[in-house]
Amino acid sequence: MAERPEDLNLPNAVVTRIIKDAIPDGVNVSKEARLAISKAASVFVLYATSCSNNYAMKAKRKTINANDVISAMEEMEFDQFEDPLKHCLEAYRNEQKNKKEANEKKKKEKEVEVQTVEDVMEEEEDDDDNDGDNEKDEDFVAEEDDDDDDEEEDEEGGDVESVGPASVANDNASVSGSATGSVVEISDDDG
Amino acid sequence: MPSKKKKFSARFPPARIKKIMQTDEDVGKVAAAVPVLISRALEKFIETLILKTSETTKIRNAKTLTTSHIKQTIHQEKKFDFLKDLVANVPDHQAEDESDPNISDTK
Repeated sequence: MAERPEDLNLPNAVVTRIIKDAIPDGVNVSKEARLAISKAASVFVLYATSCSNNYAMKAKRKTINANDVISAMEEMEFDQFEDPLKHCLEAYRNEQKNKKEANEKKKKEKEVEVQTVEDVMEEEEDDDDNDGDNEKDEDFVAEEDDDDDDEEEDEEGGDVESVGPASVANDNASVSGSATGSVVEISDDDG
Repeated sequence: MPSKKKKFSARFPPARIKKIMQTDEDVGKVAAAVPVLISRALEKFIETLILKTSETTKIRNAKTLTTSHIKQTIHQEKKFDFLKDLVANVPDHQAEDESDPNISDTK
């Protein structure tokens, strides 16, 4: 831990909300205390990261995965977090699964749409509107790529206990753009 | 028990969490699910820290939770040892907002 630039603090708004929810009625929190909690949270991330990474390295993996994090909590004496984290993980995986299914549905619908458009185009050969329609299609394609991006990280781990369908999706999807908030690879983040 | 407030709406941005994680040079890649889990763990951690600290606040008859209360909690619980350095500069006793000026509890 050589340096801690301020950018590595977590967003105040989120910290404040969690504090508000946790604090019993009738008790206030000083500004300094809020700042201290925020810093403590960052330290917690670093400590959890270090512990999780140890588990990954022990298993000769270069990618930290979900189970490493859960094991780390036990070591840090936060085993009461184990259950909530397991639920969280399950919910996350379901979310990913649903996204994937929604994407595939979209794909099929687009295929039908494109076919319909092509039919119409054949009928109206003299119509200049054809060009407008083509542009729309490009937009749809771009959107589609964005959603599939978050599957990529799971596959890179190799030993990751990633769900079967997830790796199948990677074969099909052509990952290029990056947009959704759940993707970890984004370079233009909240800052 | 008002459990309405405690939804999973308070999530930390995964990208920011990943940035923090990668300040550790030993850390290589991070699975996509990890920042999501860390975010949830953070939520629980902050909750736990605040709840424990607020007990100290009540014992001291204070209306406002201060850094000195946090410091005391950190020293009382073994699992918060990793935070000791963070509060090393905090005075043991702060007279902020405390109604009774005669309080002189020292560690």
